Amino acid sequence: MSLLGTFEIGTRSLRAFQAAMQTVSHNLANVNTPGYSRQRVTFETDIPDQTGAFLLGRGINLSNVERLRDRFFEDQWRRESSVKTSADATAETYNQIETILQEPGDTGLNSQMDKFHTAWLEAANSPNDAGLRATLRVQGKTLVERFNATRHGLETLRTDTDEKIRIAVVQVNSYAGQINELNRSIKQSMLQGFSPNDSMDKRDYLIGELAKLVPVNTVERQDGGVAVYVGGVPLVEETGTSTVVADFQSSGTGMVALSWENYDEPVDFDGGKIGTLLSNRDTLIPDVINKLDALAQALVDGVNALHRTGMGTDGTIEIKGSVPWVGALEANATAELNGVSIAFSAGDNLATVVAKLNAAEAQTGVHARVVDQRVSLVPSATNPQTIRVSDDPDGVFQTLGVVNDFFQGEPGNFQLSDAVASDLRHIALSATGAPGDNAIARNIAALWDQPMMENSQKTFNVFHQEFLTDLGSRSQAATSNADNQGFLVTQIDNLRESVSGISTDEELSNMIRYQRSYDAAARTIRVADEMMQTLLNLVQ
Amino acid sequence: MRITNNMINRDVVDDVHRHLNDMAILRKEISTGKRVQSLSRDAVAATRSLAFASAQSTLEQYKVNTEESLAWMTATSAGLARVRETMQDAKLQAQTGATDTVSEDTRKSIAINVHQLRNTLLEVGNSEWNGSRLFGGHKTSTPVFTSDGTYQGDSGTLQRDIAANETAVINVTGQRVFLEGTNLFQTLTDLETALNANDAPGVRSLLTQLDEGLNQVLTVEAEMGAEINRVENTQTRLDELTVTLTERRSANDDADVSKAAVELTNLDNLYQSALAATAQLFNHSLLDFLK
Repeated sequence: MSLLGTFEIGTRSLRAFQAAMQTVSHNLANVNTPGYSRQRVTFETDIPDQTGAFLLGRGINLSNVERLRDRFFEDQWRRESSVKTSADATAETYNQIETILQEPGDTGLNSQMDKFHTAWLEAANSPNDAGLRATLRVQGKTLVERFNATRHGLETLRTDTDEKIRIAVVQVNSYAGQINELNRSIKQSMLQGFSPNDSMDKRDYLIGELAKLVPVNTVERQDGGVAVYVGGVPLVEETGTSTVVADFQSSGTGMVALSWENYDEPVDFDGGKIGTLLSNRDTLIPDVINKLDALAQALVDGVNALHRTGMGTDGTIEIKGSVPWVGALEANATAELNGVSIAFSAGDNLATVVAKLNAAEAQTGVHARVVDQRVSLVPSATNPQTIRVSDDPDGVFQTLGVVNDFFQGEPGNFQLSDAVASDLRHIALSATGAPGDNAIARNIAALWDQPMMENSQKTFNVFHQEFLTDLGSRSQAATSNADNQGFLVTQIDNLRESVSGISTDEELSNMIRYQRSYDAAARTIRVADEMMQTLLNLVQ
Repeated sequence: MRITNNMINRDVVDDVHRHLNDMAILRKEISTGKRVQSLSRDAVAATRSLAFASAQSTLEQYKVNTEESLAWMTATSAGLARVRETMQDAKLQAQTGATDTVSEDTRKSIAINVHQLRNTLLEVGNSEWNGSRLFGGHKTSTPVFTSDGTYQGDSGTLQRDIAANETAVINVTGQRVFLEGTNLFQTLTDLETALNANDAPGVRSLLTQLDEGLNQVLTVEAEMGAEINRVENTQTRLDELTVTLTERRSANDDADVSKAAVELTNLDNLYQSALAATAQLFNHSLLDFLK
């Protein structure tokens, strides 16, 4: 027991309350810092002095600065926000698909198909009218360009998704590295007996961010480090990190494939954002592309099949092969030109085929010649006839590319056939070539009333509309799913916040508390000083 | 439960977002008048709207088709009427020429009239509508009859789709009108020859043929009239269908603007209250009382 003891208690109190004040200001300063957990100083009484029969208190000691957080809420929050990020990613993908499809609207495929349909009906009214033919050709072009643009948009969405996956993988590896670094420094601090709260916050925040990308399991170790497992593979462990490799597939799809650098385990990212992006890239978007491809292909094939059997308006036109042909026929074949059957043999090349076609020139009224390595058919000089491939069971004319198709190309790159693009008169509205005949135009218009899709079950429109209903419902579900998950995450986050979050009012009231305590401690010192003065005066 | 600054802040931001989002949707409904804005808002209504749009577009085209068909048929009908009048005229002339009391000179002048009538028939037979020959079958761009009355057309029927699964044949061939059964040109040529030859019995003998020819034209004309009636009925039906379809589409697509406007006002009030409450909330803090 001594006066100096009182001094000492006062000094220690000042230090303790200064520390408390510093923690308060640290909390106030970090009120908006993501991942920050509220910190609190805990005090304890110092080991008392033994004075005779009494134990006299020796004042306050700062025992710990702890961070307030509930592990259960943290884990739950991490899990649910992982689900939310993935739900958001799906909803966004659907949203983008909808934007690309532009339905319902005047620019969508539905409207373009309608316009193409009515253009055929209209052309059938006056099969000889060049204006209507021009309209028909423009509508055909617009329709396939819309198909192409839609497909291109979806393909781009797919590559964008792939890009997102690559970026996310880079993030995963970077998070893993940072977590590993933090683990190491936390471990060192703890060995020295410190509680590195801010580093731990930062690490837990990074694990939270990581969990949004991939589903994680965490194990807290005795030494303060946290091991992070992804799909059974240790991404971060005591000895270091594993790396996810995003490699461009050798198959040439231009998309990345994911693998572990040092593990043979398959990469299992199901549930997180990356897993969802992968399934969007490989299932969701391709499904939409396939549906629209099927529609476009059926429409093009249906129109071509009928168009091929018809005739244009003018006997003077030339039908030229759409592709240079350097090969030879693989098997014997027959084909009919203007109703005259012509036999070809295996091994026939361009010259032989042309010779055989010309051998029948007197009957067919069609002359064949070679232009730019292609077969070109023109009406014969002596007995000019309109050119018409009346039957092509073995696909000879198809191979030569001299079939009078309306469209050509493949999904993503459909266009008007060279013949139709070059001359309106090539559009075959009639079966006989007579100017008033509209049989083919009517038949093509009637395609819209026939079940052309899915094994003759659905018309073009029904197929397309059912596809849109399905897509729309799924999009609707994805959006509401993301919304609901958002509410859930908010609720859990509120629980989490109620433990770890900072209330400024609370901190301010603590501030006053510690300020008063500091005042009191200072006062103690002053009184002790006065007592000391009194004592010294006695001695003088 | 401890309430922290972040919780309040996030609640406020969430509320503001939700209100603004709801208000944006309502505002768009009101400004476009459409309830169906996107597939994901209401997939069923959106695709039903597309189906209505397709049906409407086809229906509009069918209406154009009936319009054009009727125009062609009316032109044909007018041509047929002219043929009938010409034949009636020819019959009157023949009756006069068949009378024994008529002089040779009169018969000769009647013969000139009959020649003119034959020319009229040829003219009708070769007549065009909108650049196309009416009576040539599929051969719509070349003369239908030569001057000696030989048919150059074909037997093609001009078919038009005028409604779903409904077609109309809008033409009759010159073969059917002028040649099949009684050859009108030949009959008039024969009449002219008989008149010129002052052959009263000969003229008399042609009267039956003229009657038959007239009947032939009357039959075709009646058929064409019936067909025109049918197409007109279809046209009326298409108009009615358009009205029904428009109503159904509107019921499916259109926003209840007054309801949406009331909802928007409600939301706006809520939004303002939310903002006011927020402002109140942040007005007070312990800081206010720390001096």
